[in-house]
Amino acid sequence: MARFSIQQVRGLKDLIQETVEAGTNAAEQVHQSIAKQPYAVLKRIPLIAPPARIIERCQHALTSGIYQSIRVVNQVSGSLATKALDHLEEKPEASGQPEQDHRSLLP
Amino acid sequence: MNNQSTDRIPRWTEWSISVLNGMVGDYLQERQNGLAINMAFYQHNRPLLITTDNLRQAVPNPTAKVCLLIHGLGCNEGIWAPADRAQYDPTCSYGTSLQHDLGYTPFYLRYNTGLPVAENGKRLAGLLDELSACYPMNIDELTLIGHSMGGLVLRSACHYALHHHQYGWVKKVRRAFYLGTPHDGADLEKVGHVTTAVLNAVPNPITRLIGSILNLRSRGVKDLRLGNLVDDDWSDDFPDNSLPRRHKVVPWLPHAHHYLLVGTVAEDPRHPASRLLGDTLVRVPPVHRTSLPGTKDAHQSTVKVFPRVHHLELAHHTGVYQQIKQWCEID
Repeated sequence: MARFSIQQVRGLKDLIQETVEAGTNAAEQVHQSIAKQPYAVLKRIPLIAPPARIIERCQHALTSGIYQSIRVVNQVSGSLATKALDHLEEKPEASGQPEQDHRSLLP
Repeated sequence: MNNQSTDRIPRWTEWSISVLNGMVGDYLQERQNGLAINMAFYQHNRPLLITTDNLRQAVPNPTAKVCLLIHGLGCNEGIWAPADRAQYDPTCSYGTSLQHDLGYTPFYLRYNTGLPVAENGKRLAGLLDELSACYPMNIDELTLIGHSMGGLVLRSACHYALHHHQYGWVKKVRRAFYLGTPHDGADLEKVGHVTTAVLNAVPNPITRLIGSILNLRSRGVKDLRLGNLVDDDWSDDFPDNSLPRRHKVVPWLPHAHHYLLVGTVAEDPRHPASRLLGDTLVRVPPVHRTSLPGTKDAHQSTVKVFPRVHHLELAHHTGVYQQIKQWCEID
């Protein structure tokens, strides 16, 4: 059976959270820069330019909102996981049985 | 195999962490992430704190001949055990065989392979100084065995021990074995370096994103491009600080014997596939490397090629062990 120490689980949690955050930021940046391209063409056409600007603003706001919601869910999940790990870490001490750290030292 | 015996060898959890450290270990270290591996000698899958009492208990029958085994990128000391499940014995390795056959006391290093080679070299130099101070008896002879990146780390440790700290242990190094070590750089990382540069140069957000993701690979991996050993390779005022700029030539430890053991994919080492791919990751050293200028081996061949032995197999191959043993028996 797989066994990680609390310290390692905490590290894994941090790494996943940081990866999701960085991945979301990078995906948003690429998404927005690609989405800009058709609007740049449409905005050169006089008749279409005014509605294109409005649609672009809506699209930008909607996209940002979706990515922001991913970031919020990621942060909330991370905080909940941190609390759960804190609780797990306190539990063995409360029962008088200190958890054996994986990194404990020989002998 | 019972639970007690599986506890004594690295399992998939330890292997996953070792691979992760190889990929992004420098980032983990920088963020003080709990997954970052601290360099230590490992015994029975646990770190060995170096104190005299601990060493007396961990090494009940110490000898004056010590050998140290240093694994490569993304690995741990489990790489020294035979991979063949049918013959799988976690207690069997070059270290235990040398102990049994020639009376060496083996130590196994586990470290964060994502850190720069120079950083790991400095840490290893310090760790060996602690070991020699606390070892229950005087060490007469030190044999170093490095697999892949481990060979670079041991060369870096010897360099820092000799030229920067004047540690006493370095004078005891009699032999150094390099198993598939990319002294001249690894082609895969060279390809990775060029690919990243090209992707970042293309003015397209997607290719730049892929280039940025590829560039996240650790500094340890980037050191493999040129086989960097020292800090100076990184310390220039370079616009992209995430890449080593130059390669400083570090002399071989002059008083030790150095042995290069390499594999090839084909039966014939002169076959184009063997020349191009080497052991799949590291190529056979060029002709001038069959002797090592400035060392005791300046006039003799110190390279042994093992046909049809791939890169990882070099760490647990019977033929490789026999060659190491043979060289160790030469006084």
